[in-house]
Amino acid sequence: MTAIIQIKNLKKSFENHEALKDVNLDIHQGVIFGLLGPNGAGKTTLIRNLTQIYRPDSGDIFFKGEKLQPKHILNIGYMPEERGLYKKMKIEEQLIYLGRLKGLSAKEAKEKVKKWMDHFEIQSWKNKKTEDLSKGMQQKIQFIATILHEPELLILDEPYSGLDPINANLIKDEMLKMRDNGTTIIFSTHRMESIEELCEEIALINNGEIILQGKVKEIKEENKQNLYNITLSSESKWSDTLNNKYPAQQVEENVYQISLHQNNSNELLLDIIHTKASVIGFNEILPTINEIFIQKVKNYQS
Amino acid sequence: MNKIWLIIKREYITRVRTKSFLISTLIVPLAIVGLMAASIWIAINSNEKVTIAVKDDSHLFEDKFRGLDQGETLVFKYKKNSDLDELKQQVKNEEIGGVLYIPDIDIDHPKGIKYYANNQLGPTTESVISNALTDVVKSEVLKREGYDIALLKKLDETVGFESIINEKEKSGMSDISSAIGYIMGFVMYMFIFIYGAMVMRAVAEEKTNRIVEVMLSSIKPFQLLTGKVIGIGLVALTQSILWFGAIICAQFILGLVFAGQIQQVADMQTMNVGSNPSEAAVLEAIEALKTLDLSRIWISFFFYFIFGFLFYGAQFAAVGAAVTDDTDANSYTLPISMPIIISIIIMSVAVQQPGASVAVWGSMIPWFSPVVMPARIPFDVSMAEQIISMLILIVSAVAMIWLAARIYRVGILIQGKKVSFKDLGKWIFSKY
Repeated sequence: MTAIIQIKNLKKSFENHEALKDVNLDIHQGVIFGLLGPNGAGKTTLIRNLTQIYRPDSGDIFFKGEKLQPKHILNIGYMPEERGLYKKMKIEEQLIYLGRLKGLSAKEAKEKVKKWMDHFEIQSWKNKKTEDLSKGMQQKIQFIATILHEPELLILDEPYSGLDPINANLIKDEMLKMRDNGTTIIFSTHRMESIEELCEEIALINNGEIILQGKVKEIKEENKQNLYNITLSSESKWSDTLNNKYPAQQVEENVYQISLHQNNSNELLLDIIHTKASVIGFNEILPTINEIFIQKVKNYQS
Repeated sequence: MNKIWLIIKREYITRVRTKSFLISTLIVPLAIVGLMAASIWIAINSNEKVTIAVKDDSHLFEDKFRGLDQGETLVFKYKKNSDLDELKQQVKNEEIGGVLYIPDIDIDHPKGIKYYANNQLGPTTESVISNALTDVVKSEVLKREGYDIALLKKLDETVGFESIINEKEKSGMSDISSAIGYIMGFVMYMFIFIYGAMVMRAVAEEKTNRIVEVMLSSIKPFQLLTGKVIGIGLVALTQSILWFGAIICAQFILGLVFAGQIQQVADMQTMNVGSNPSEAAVLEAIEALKTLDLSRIWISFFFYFIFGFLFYGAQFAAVGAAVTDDTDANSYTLPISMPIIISIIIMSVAVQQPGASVAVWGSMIPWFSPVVMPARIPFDVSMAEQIISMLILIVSAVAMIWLAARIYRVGILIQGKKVSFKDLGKWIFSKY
């Protein structure tokens, strides 16, 4: 997989704090990439470097192997966490204007606005002013403004913040569709639930440093603690013999959690079967990204 | 460049289309035209319509009241043969407005002249009559003493002089120059203030409604700031042109509509003043206007308007970016508005004494020159001086935009923090 974004030794500081300390990061083409981190970790600063709002103090950013430069604005779509539109402007005009600022011609901008407004079935709203729209509607418009120029790289900073579940779902579906069409999406958030269902790759940023990065599956594998849940039928019970060999913790009725030091799950199963207990469930417990995140941040702090 | 143009276009079009722009553009010329029309109307209708019979027992005034008739508003009838009581009766019957009774007076002690009427005369008419009486009595006395009346009349005329500036005749132009200078300086002052504040609000609005981050991912802060200042500056320019245009048109139309009446009012005023012939003064003023280099005045006006606005608009934009709420804004606009107010003071000196050193220096310093220099142009400032002033202003405007953009790019992304002047200084030198 080729990288659409390569960040090398990126540093950025403000008056009296280092917002990014030597960040190295590759983001592969065609994935949904989760950028995680607690508030104030440096997510927005990193994104503002990618969108060329800030200039790095040192280090380089490459877009598809080329040094990032103003012409790449057309290839990048950005929806900041703090969103806004011109209140007094009509929707259609506003979208065309924002599209043209990205570098679309007047004709292209017009066609694309029409296409997306049709797509979201909001053609009838085109002559309304933003201030007359509901919040959910404004969010749709904002999203259209971000993807209007059909960028190869889409950067969404806390895209779900302030969204109702319906619009959040809508945006999620759009993201998946765009990913399938080859768009790379950087999804920045401090809310982990949304990451697991969407992102293939993540980077965890804390205090201006990347402390973890890679594929979600691999990260989970690396950080698992060999925990297993065993569910027994209601008549069976976890015998003392078993408990001597495998100290278990009953997490629910008939559900026992066991930590295996070596990966000898077959042996465990055989041992259970010997006690005549009937097993109706056996599964490995992988840590959630949230757990890994909290663990890593804690480790980092200590 | 293309993107700055997009910004300019949006800033311009969205503002020119608003109702408030339309209303303010219409109301000001309408108000001025209304004032002009009203003052003409009042001048015309303030004259009472009165017919006055003159009963003259001294026989000194026989022809003197003929020339004083003013159309229908004031008519004198010289009644040689009527009886005074008969005339008084006519006044009672309201056949005539009044009777001026002049007994056989002693010109050394002209007493006993009376006016009989039902209504009091207005002060204007009163002074017209009193002037005529004085004139005749004075002439009679002088005649008796053996003076040449014609010669004395001639001596009554004011002696003027012609100024020759740079080998060009400029008769009687300093009043007109002052007036034009003052109007231009004042218009400049007003527009910088009103539209400068508009730039500030527009920037602050983008900051508070958070669209600015979306904008900055597409364009550079410098482009956004420049486009904004130029766009709003063009709105100001459009409005000033519309105002000037409307007022000039209105003056022309009013001139046609009220042509007769205006002449009449002018005549009246001349008469009241006494001897100064109005036509000569008007002609002189027109001559003076002709000798003024109008194209230079206009070009200079637009130049100083555009660059003065860039210079000040950039500062207002920087403040708009730095502040988070309106109450903060006031303390920051003070350093911007002080020089504008000072330039109005310098300008009022400049239109009286265009060569005064404060005026000359004022037209060089970029904080004052947009207001002071246009006020001095009608007085024939030397070309070299003007070019130097223009160059200083161009360089300063560009420098100010650069400086403002540095404050702007930092301030516009900072939310909810109170900013000090020290911070602004830091921002200018920080790298973002």
